[in-house]
Order: sequence, then structure tokens, then C-alpha cells
Amino acid sequence: MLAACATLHLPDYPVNSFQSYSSRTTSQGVALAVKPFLEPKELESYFGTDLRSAGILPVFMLFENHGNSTVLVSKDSVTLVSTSGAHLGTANLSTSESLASTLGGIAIAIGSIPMMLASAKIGSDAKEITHNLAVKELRTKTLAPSAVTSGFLYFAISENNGDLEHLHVKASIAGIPDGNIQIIELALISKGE
Amino acid sequence: MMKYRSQILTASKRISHYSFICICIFLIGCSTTWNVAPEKPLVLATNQFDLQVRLVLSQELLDAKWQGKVDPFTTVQIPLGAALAAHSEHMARALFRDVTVLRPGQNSVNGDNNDVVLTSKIVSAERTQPTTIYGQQTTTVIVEWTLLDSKGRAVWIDTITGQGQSKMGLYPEKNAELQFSAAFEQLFKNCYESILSSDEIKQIAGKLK
Repeated sequence: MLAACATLHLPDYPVNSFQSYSSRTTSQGVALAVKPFLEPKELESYFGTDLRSAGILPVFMLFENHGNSTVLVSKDSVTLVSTSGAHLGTANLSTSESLASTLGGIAIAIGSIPMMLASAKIGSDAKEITHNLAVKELRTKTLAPSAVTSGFLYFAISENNGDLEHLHVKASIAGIPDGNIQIIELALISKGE
Repeated sequence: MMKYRSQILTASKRISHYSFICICIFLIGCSTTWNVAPEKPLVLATNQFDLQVRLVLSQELLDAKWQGKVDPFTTVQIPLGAALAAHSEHMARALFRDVTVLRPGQNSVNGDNNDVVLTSKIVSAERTQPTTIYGQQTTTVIVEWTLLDSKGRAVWIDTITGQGQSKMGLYPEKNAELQFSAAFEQLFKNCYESILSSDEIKQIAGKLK
């Protein structure tokens, strides 16, 4: 029972080299690699729960600036699109709040001590999962030449989206300070996977 | 006999009354405010860019707070806005030659004479809730900073994270104070370093003073 009460600890995702990701591309000096997290075991390991079953698809993104000028990477400018061009949406961390409520949030303890402990454990895990999602999220920042940034974006994926192989990640990268936009697009899942 | 009966009835009413209040508290819960955000900014070395900066403190920043349950019955609010504003001003004055602070409702005194505009917004304030008082609790504050040039174009943007940890312990308010203090220290130290090392800002400033 004491072991079951232990606080959930979720490890950082180790960032690998750009070349190690099967879904990657470079366009006008900006390199982008993506890795969707699909396997329940992997999701449990890094996120503490099978996010897919809650309708959330976490996608790891790695940006590297191989060019000579600064660019802006913004999490709000990354979208998932289908091959037909239909826009499926941007990542939204508020989905984690609905996830927390799905997990039970902080449950009111009523009844026996084991039930109280179970409720506290569920509530603690929900908070840990929500906190972890926030910490792992890709952040908006300017990338100077040679700089790298990475993190996760969380997309709401319904069962209707089903087959992920037709999905593309589309990132709008702005030049700094001119603001010129370049679009980088690549398949969410490389055909080699 | 009648006297005892009326006393028992009065006592029963009182018990029912207090029970009703307890059930209401149980169902509704309590709400309280902890003023634990650190007001005293950490000491930063003065390494000033030769720039005139307008530091804009938005209402959204000033209203920033953490809110959550610390137990099944108690909701706590921790205001963060005033502390974020104080730390931001202190950091800006350590980094830039001339700083004008603009709060909501104030008009700019210098008009368009500023070289750059520095703004920030809180992205996230999260706290874990260990299962027991012996568990490690983590407080995380994430702030996005933007520096605009005199033409209003973004020159530098960074999102900075600050974290503080301690055991949840028997005194959660005291430990919240420790955690937020550590989180703010890391947040503003990292932001200071990020601005100081920014090639884009160095290009605008020319050189450090």
C-alpha cells in the first residue's frame, strides 16, 4: 500500500540527434524533425498515462537553425493537416486540463482509509501528469544561427482522424526581424517507419 | 420533565444546525489566499546594454496567480503578479541603461523615444501534489518574454522556466513560499542570462555599457 502511495515520477524525454529521427526535413536553413508518440508503453513511460486513449496525440518536435539569420519558432504556428489540406488544428495544452478531470482531479475522500489513499493517489497522479505536460511542451522562442529547440505539442485527435499516416506537420517559421514566413511541411509518420 | 424535553429539543436543533454547516463546508470547500510569492528580487550583476527600454507590465501579468486545491476541501490562490512585476523591473534595470515602466492605464511619457519595448506574459504556473507529506513537491513558473525594436518588430523572444522543489511537509504554506522563491530565482536568473547572451540584442545595442 505504501508503494502504491509513492508519488508518480515522469522522466525527461532524451533528445536524440536530428539524423536519428525518421521523419525529418530541412528547408531554407531550418531543420525540423518530428516523432509522434503512439505506443501505450512509451506514453505511460513519459507521460504517466495513455494519452491516445484520452484523444491526445503528443508529438515531439526538434528545430535546428542551420541558416545565417535568426528565426522564430512558435508553438501556435504549428498545425496538423491532412494530405488533402484539411486543417486538423493546433496544439492546445488545455486538453491536459480535460485530461486531469478525466483522471479525477483531486477526489473528495469519503469512506475508508484505503479509499482515501486511493483518491489522494489519483489526484496526485493527475497533478503530476498535468505538470509534466506543461514542462515538456514546446516553447515559443527566437532561434539564433546554430541554436536548437525542442519539445512536445499536444494535438486533439479524434477517432475519426484514425489513420495517422495521411497527416502532415506544417510549421510557419518567421524570419527575425523581417517577419518573412517560410512554411515547413513533413509527414507525421515517415513511410520508412 | 418538560424542561428537560425542551432542552433536548434545543440541543438537537443546535446539533442539526452545526451538522448542516459542516456538510455545506464539506461540499463547497474553503477558499483562501497565500501571499507567498517572493517580493524581494534576487541580486543581479549590472551589465547594461546601452538601450532605452520601455518595460510594459500588462494587466494579464499583474493578475497572474496560481490556484489549486491543497487538500480535498481547500482551494488556495497564490497571487504572482506583483512579484513578477517587481522582479521584471529589477532585472530590466540591471540589463538596460534607461528603463521606463509602463503599467495598465498609464501613457508613455517619452512617446516613441524608446529603443526597445520589453514585455512578458505568464505561460503557466503549475504545482504537483504528492500523495503524502513526505513526497517531493515541485512548483514551476513559465514566462514568455518579448523584445520589440523601435519599429515594433520582434527582435528576441524566449520562454523561460523556473522551478522550486521541497517536501510537501506539514506546513504547505511555508513550503509554497520556499518553492516559489526558488522558482522565481531560477526564472529571473535564466531570463537575465538569456537576454545578456542574445546576439540579436547585442546587435541593436552595439555593445555593453
